[in-house]
Amino acid sequence: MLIEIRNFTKIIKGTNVLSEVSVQFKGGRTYGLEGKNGSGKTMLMRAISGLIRPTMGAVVIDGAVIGKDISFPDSIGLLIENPSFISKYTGWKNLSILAAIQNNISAEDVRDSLYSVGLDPDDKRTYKKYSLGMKHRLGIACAFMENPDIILLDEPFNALDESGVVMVKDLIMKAKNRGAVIIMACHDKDEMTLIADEVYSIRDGKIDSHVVLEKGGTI
Amino acid sequence: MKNNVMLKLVLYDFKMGFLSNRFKYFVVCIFFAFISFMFYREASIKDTVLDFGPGSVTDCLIYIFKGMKVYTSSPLNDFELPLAWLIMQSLLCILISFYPAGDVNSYGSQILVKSGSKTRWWLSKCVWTICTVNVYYLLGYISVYIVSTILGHASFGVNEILNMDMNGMKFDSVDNLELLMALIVLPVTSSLAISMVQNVLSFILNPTMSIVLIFCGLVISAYYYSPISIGNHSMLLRNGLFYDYGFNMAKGLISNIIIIFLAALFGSILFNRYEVIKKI
Repeated sequence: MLIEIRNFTKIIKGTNVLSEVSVQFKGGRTYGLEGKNGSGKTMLMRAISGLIRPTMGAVVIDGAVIGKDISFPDSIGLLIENPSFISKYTGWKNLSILAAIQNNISAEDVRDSLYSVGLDPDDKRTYKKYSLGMKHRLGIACAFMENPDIILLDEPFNALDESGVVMVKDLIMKAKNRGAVIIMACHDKDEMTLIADEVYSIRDGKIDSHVVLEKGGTI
Repeated sequence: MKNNVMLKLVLYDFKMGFLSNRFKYFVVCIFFAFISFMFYREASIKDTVLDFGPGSVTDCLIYIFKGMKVYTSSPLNDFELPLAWLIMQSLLCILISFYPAGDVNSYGSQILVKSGSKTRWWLSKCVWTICTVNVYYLLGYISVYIVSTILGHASFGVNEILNMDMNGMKFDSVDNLELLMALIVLPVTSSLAISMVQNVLSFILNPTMSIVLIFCGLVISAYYYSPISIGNHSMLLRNGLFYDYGFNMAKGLISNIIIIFLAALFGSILFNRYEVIKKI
């Protein structure tokens, strides 16, 4: 798995939200994105997921150009900002509907993904009755449930208690070990340096610095 | 498994679209029932004077779909909007406009990514639109039939004297097939064309603006008669069957079908350039 961001520029209403970004993300590694609010971290994730189109440049996934050869990466899990779920449905039903589209995993896998984030698949409460932390856990379960090759996590530790943080770290490690690319944006630098193999710092839509961490991934 | 994705998307849209519109469908039934009731009430009052006999389901549908005669501007001729026709079209606009554009900026954005194709996702929304328009009219026809049954006039004949008096329409040379075309096929295809255009507008602008624009278009259609104006094709009083200079039904049908295909094609091109930025 190789994600190539080639000279990616995105201009929205006259503002360069991303400027000539060129980076590569490889399978089996965890990448951290750091930067202030509005620096372009989330926008870069949207670009990789195919939700936005470049003003210039391209995102290439294993040789396929997004927006030209493919609309979206074939295998991707997303947690970007606050994920939307159907408020009238339970967490299990929300994930089941999403899983049914590609039909890559069984109902049992959906249950397991909920267990893996500490949610009960038999919980009858609907999504609107979930606490903030539970909603976030459901978003994480959604991102990981189909064992995707690309996992994008925007602030994965938000609203999580200590056990939740450990749980997410565990999921990230498992995904990394099976060869997935994990890209996460995180304000907590300590957590980031603990998990990430490489960290890109983004400022004003540009890659400001790139650090390869020798002990990255040793949680 | 990928070849099932389209079917899964369509099923998803049926379910979610119905959930988001379930109360609106109820309003649709109430509206058609109310207009039907108004028709029978008016017919009953006039019947006591003119003695033209009871109206039928067909007469009621003619009353609902009649629209207005071609308007000729003059100081002696005030412009009166065909309210029943306008509300009927506007209700459908409200039914159609919010779900597709709302879905892509909420849970549907995750479905979109998982579907792997923007074209497939758009086509699924087109299928949903076509089905919703058909369900809308089906509910309308059923409501009219139920009210007609309750009021004791559930027949399908045409009361020519009643229609001459209440709608100013002659049925001397109209056969059943032509009437079927005028009462079912043309209104449905006209609404499909309007709804498909509205879907495209919802993505270019937003759902509320698309409703405003379509509403303005319908009012203009009522004011200015033009055979190429899609709103006119659903007005019986402007149909060539009842108005010497009215539109030709076959041409109306073809133009509606062309608009439906063009809107689907243009929408697909547009949606492939559409960006999901609000939130996922």
